[in-house]
Amino acid sequence: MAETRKVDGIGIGLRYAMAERTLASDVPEIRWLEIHPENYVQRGGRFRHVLERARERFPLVTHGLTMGFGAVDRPEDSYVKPLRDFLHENAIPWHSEHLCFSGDGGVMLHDLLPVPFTRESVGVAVARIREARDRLELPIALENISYYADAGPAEMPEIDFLLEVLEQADCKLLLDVNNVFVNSQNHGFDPRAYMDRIPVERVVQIHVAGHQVRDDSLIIDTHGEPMRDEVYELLDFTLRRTGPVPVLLERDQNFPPFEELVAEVKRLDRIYREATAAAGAEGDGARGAA
Amino acid sequence: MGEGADRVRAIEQAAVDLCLAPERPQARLQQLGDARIWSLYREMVRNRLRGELKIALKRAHQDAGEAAFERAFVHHLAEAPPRSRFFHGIVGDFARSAAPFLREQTDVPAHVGDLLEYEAAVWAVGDLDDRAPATELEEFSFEGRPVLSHATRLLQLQYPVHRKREGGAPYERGEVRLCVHRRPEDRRARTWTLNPITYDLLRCFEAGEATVTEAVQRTATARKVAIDQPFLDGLCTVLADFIERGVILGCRAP
Repeated sequence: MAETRKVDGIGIGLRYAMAERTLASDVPEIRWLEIHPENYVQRGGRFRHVLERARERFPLVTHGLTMGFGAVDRPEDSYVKPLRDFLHENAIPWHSEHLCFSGDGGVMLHDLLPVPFTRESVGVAVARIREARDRLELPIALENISYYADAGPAEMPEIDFLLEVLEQADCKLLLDVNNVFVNSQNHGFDPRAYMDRIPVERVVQIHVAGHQVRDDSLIIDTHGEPMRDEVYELLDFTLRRTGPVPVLLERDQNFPPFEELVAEVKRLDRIYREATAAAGAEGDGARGAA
Repeated sequence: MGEGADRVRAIEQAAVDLCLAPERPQARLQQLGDARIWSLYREMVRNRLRGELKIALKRAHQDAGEAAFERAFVHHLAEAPPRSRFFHGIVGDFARSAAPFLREQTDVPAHVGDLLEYEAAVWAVGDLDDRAPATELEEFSFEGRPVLSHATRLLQLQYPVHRKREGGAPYERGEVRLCVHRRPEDRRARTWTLNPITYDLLRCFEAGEATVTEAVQRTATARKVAIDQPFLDGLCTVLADFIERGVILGCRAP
């Protein structure tokens, strides 16, 4: 059993396409890595090779893709048990998943679909999060997703829905700043007012990423573009409230030269240091970090 | 989750139906709300799945042609959609429905179903967990029940699709038996051609029920082969070879 290591500062997602550059790099601003466990659980070959090298060098955090906490279906033991073993073998400090669903009746669509913003849906998510915490025996962080439309009639705004789930499930929050920005543009609300309502004591991790603005002005959370200035600014605003919470740069497709990614990491690191210093938090207070 | 989640489940079912149906179901779009956006979700889901399949099954996609591959994809989503929680598992899910479907298509070369099965096996074996199974292992013996590496697939096909075609010449029909395997230290799967007896024997080992002696006797009986000295000499060579290659890991402890 490995020892849990401290997660703070800026991290990046370990993606196979960039793994060699990431693991061979010597960039002090890259402090930790996030992995999707679905890429590594019960796998060997090149994926296990990459994982072994990654955990030698970096603290790891996991971010799941297919156990959306909004799903009515309970995840099957054949998924949860190996995941639990994997998380503990790799000394993962917390496991995050999305407030969404990805299928029904055993069918998996492999996308993050929005749940109805209803009281009934709150009950589903709360039950799923509590179960996950019990079954995985780890702290759980819930991620707010980008959504492009309501799923059926809504009974409350997304922020109220999120807060209700967090409160009732008593779980951590993986606050995706880019998702807040994307949603604010697509649905017409003030992202800073949204951030003001976030209970900072629950925020254990932050995500940022690039997004795509379509010709029809709809913004899609692609993780395939450079980060926009507006998201850097919203991150700065957010970190001044939360203090030193670890920040993850997501890049999942349309990979740039590694140097471009490093430039983004360095910019994020500067923001992180300035904003968290301004927040009055000294050094190693990352919430939820080991 | 009980009846209290009926309305949530109805929305989830509507979204799944929308994404899987051959044509956009208007009733589902109305149920979900914004038809433009939910149509976009449908396209995003389908594009993501389709894109991964084309990467994993490059040769089958090429030989089937765009139109037939798309028909197989539409058939797969409608009739036997992906169930794996692991994204890499969608390739195997697709192959199980698309291979028989493509074999029935008169405008598709006859080898494409086999090619798709073979590429799916190579894709899976390339990254399968190759660590020793949790079962306690003992050294290989004729009285033991053999254990094969997880990173192994046995295939019986009608075309030698593991060989690249030269100059686009069609594959000649002829039964071929393959072992697709990857050693723990390797990054890629390797493929070996098996004779019928070796194939049957490894299949028997894979089932995990018979001892080596029982498996040999069953195979020889089924193939009407005498267990004489030349047979035993050949058998020992083959078994030693597969132990050396890491396909046979040992025997299950009693």
